[in-house]
Amino acid sequence: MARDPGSLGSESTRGDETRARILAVAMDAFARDGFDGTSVRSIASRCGLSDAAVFYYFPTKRHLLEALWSEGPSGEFPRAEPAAQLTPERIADLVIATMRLSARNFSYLRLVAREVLRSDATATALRNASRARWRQALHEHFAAAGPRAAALVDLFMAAVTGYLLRLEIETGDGYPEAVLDPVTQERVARAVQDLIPLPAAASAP
Amino acid sequence: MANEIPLAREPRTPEAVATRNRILQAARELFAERGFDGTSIRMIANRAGVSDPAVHYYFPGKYDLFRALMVQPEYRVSPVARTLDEAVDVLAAMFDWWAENAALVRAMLQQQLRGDPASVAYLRDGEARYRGEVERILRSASYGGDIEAAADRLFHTLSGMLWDAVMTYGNTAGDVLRQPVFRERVRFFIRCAIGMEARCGA
Repeated sequence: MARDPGSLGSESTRGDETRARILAVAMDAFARDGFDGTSVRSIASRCGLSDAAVFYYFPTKRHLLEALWSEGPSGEFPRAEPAAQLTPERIADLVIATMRLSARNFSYLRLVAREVLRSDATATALRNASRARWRQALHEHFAAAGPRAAALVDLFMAAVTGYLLRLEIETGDGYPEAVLDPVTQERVARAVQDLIPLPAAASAP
Repeated sequence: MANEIPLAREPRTPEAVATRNRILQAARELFAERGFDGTSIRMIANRAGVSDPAVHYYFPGKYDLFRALMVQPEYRVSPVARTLDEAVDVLAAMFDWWAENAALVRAMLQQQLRGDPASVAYLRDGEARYRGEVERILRSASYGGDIEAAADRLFHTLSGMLWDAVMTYGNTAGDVLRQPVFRERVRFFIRCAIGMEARCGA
């Protein structure tokens, strides 16, 4: 693992800042150009550091990647109140919450997806864990759908995955801005609302 | 896009057909194993046991190979449906065909997320064709709803399912999606997308 900058004593704050700056630059570079397509040298020069300075914190490029993995995505998916009904408004809120989280964590998610498609085992495990958390949170919201809840959660996940990946493929680096556009959010939320057949109790006025 | 690329040649003799098929099979395997960028024409030629120029003769570029692999055999799917139930069958059969080619879909998704312009153009073409087919199928089945909106929901939901499967299961996604539980899900998604699942009653 990377050396602990805390061991630098009085310089520890500065060490933390440098480490964080290297990680931020590496996240963007790996997400955009891929792990293989990025050199430690290019990360160092973008940070205004020597290669040796980067290697001090992260002995290999792989250590950098693993440090990024351990940071994880930020932000929480909204939790459900136990007795809450499943309404069209709720479905729209859940779609938009997902879109906001995907904008906030764009570099992380893009990096994970790229590495998953290169069959990286760590990235695949991280993606599975993060989808399991998403599924679990959705299950709480969809509990009111009764026995069809699991199928409707799958439907929600497939549709949102399709709309958001399609948008990412079309917009590339512009994704975070595109996914926060209110017109896009309205369009996707509407499509998912129309897709999901709500249980009778929830669709009553 | 298509106009910029010289057309792939068709084989004229049985030997030529066999050669072309060997090249396609080699390309299919290599795209699945090494991805699109990781595969060269030379690797394909070596595996197929032919020369580089032989590959170039039938397929001027890697995307011509890819397109040839992804040509949907017409006989597998009837383009029309008389009822909505038949429409579900046809749409599910179309998805089965994509699922059988999951390894190629995975290689292409990798290119698309890297922003390779040719792969994005390929997706745009594929999406337009798919939407056109869905509109024809739903019209022939006398679908009463908004056909364009239904095609939009079908495209994104089924793409999302397939993309998720190739990221979760890698090149075994095709086998996974053949299992009854997934086939049931696909039919359920299709029924929801065309409003056949009752909104009343869970």
